[in-house]
Amino acid sequence: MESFLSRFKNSLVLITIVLVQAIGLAIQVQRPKEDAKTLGTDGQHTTLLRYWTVSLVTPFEKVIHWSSFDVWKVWSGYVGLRHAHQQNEQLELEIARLRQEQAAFAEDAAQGRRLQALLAFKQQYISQTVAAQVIGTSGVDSSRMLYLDKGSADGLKPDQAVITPDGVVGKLRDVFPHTAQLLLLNDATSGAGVVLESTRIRGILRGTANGRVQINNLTADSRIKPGEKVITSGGDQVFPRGLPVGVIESVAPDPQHQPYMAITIHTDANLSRLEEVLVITGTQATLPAAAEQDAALADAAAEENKRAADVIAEKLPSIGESGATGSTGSSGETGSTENSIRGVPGIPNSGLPKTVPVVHPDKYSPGAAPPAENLQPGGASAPQ
Amino acid sequence: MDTGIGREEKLSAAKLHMTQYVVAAVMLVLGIGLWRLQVLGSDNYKVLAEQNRVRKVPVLAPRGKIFDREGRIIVDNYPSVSCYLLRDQQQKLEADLPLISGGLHIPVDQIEADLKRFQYAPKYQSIPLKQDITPDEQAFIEAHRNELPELETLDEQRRLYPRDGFAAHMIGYVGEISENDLNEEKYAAYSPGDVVGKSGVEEAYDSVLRGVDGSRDVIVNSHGKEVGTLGQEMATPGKDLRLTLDLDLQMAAEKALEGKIGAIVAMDPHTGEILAMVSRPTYDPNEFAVRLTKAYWKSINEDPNHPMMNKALQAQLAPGSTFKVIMTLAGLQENVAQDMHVVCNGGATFYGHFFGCDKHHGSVDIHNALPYSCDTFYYTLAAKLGIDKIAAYGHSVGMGMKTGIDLPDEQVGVMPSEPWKLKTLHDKWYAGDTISVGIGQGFDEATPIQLARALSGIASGGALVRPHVLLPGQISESQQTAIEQTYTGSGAARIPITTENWQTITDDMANVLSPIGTAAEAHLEGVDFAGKTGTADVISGRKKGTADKSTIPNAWFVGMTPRRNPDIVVAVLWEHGYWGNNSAKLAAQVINAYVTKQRSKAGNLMRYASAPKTDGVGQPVAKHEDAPVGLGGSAPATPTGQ
Repeated sequence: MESFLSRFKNSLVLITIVLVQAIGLAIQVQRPKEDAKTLGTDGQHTTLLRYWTVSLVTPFEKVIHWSSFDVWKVWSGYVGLRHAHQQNEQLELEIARLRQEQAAFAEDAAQGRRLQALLAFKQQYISQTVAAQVIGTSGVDSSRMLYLDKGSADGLKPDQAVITPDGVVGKLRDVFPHTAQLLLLNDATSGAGVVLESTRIRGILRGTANGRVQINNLTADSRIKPGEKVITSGGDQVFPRGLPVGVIESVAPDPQHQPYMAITIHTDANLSRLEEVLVITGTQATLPAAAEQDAALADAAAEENKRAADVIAEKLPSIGESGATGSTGSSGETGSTENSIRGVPGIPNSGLPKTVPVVHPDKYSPGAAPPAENLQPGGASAPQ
Repeated sequence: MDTGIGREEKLSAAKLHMTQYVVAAVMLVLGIGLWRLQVLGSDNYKVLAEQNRVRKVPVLAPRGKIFDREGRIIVDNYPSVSCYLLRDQQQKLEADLPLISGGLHIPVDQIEADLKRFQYAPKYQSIPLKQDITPDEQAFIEAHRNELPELETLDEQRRLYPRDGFAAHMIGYVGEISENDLNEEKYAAYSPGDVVGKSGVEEAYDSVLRGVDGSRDVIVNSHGKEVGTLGQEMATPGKDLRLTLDLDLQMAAEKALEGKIGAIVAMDPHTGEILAMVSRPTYDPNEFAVRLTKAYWKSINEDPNHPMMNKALQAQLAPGSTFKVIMTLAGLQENVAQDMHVVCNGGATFYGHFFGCDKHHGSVDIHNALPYSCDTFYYTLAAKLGIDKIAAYGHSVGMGMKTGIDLPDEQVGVMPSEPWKLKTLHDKWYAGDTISVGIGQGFDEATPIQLARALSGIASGGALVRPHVLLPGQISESQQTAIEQTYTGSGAARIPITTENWQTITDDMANVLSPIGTAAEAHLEGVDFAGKTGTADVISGRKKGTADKSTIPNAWFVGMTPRRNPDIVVAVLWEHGYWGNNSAKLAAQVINAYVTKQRSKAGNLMRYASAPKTDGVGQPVAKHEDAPVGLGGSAPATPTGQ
């Protein structure tokens, strides 16, 4: 052994140095540009080292996941075999029934779509999804991340939305050739634009450090109540519009974040027990272009109206064309323009207002001013 | 092998020792270096590392709201989110720019320009990218937090002003502090990026309204991700302020000036409280609260009528015949005017020059000179008094001086005098100059607020006040003193007026609105309305039959009620409004709003009595002129003054 070490001392040292340098380089070097291009639109900041590690580890993870799954399958298959014949007959009946149902549902769906188009209801239709299995967790408690068994080879890209049939789960973070990281909604770095379904109030969803999902950019509003449905708004450019997120669980003032409320959401998808998820790889708007534009315009108008600034602006005084005096709470007796007389032609409000007759003369009445000798300079205009 | 041994043998022992010492020395140096870093410098580096770990996030104090005298809101705040770019943790900024640009709807070159603008600023200072972002843009930032940790959002309370430029000049607006301001002494406590009042009440009371920003110490990990909060210093909100403004009167004044150029200021002459202040044309202060667009800035900057100018304080124009009230005071107090009788034949000749009057008033004395606004009488009076006495009385009521109102950029106007002319024009005073001054023309210049203070002070028997816009008792004494020292002026003063003279002047002013007066058309039925018109020629002089509005005289009116110790004074400047009585009707609108409100409060209105629609409200139509009421109407007979 000693002789081996001493004999190959030089080459061993050389190999070690080269290895260390390679690792050092891998830490510094980011993935090549053309690689990043195929993976996502943004500049990926994954280092080579991490890329290698993930690529090395995941095959093992996959093998372990599948082998445990297979063992269970073999066992249950053997046990199940005994009832197979009975079940087969039942199942064939079932299939026939389901086929009929399926045809009916397809018709219903088509009708639903037509109705939605009629109502100019703007919705992005999910046109393509990739089903993926959850094969591992990040292993760290503070970050809520899962690994999926599909990667860029299957058409996945960073920032794609991940859902289950129940609702939104999260989005893809880093994508590797055969694996991808799923960042869950309840991770502290997660966020999504949402809309409260019935009130159409827009909010921002964020994960919290203790794994809950909250909306924390809304000020107190009596319309926000527990039980209200929350759906995605589509404004964040990650999650398509109209996907179910969850329901409001509680609404409480946020002491850390003064004027705002902490609105906790109970997610529709069970984020702590995920096995199969769908990654949305393609969306399309099925509406004709004109209807699309209409919907966008209506949306824009609705959003304009909902800005906090506009709500408050209505409480401020304004000259306006009508009802301006009402906004200041004045009694409306302050020289309204219709009563004006002898104005300059063509110039608005240049005439003389009409006065309202008084019940009894007061200090503003003609002839009421006391002679100067009865007054103190700067004093009251009439002696008390 | 042989050669190797041979080479070894050639190395002398001395050389070998030398090498050893060199190596040892190098090791020693390295060792000392390590010791310095690890032991001696440890505290220092620990602090540096901590600073890296803990980030101070400002918590902006909400600015105080502004209310009117009855507690009705004028200026409010609304919650808004701004986006900042952090530079201390992200080297790969360039690669992210397209994504940021797409999500926040900012062109890439604008972000690059911002980066360039801040390239010499310290790295820990974040760059403001976009203010008042939309919910969608905020959602974009939150959804891309892992890819774009360099984007940071900050909740702010943003200023919201009334629409249509309502009371805009008086209230002012806020904006980011400019680099020039930062170099000034009064902004010593401010730092770049601070929002500061730029004009009006927002500027004058900035220190009261702004509050004190707090901060939050946020713990961040090596990726700049927020992992916790160490502690926070709460922001102290700015103080809400109540102004002396009465929204009802302000509304009446805003409406009265609609479609005109000029200013209206209404004041309580007992206290100096400003009840309404309007200047036209106006601007939208909300445009200044978020980033000002070039187009809007261009439009208001190039408007020849100066929308940004608060004409109530800053328009220095010839006061015209309104100055005759001050002349009357001087004439009576000097015992010159009492027995003066002048026969007006449409003007008179002084020092070889003919000075015109707008009509033949016939026999004029002190009792009808003011209602007639007879120029000939006041030419004669000016000649008898001389410029020194006129200037002394002018100064005593605050002409040529700031009033000391608690609003920035008040102008002084001009009270011409011998020393003034020598100093400003480097010319001696000619006796003929005095004649024009007597009717408020010539070198005479005044602002609406000066005239409001002066004429109401005379009507109050010589008790002059300091105009102000803040209701008293809201700020500390030291702050009040600071305000008074910042905005100095003629302030509160007492001038002697004999009881008889007080009676004469105030009755004369009331007669201006009587059937014989120049403002007979503006007579308000059932209101003891007094005042003085002014039809002031613009410098270029009147031109007959021209469509050019800029040569039409400025119409002034200062009115008040009741006639002695008035409760309200309203000064109106209608630029190119032709006759003073046109302005008088605008003042009547405000006066009527005030009186009606007071009577309504006292339950002294016949609410359900339908006012009979008599055309002249029982008032004979003015007989003194063939009523050129239209702006484009027939040209006046003779130019006055000049």
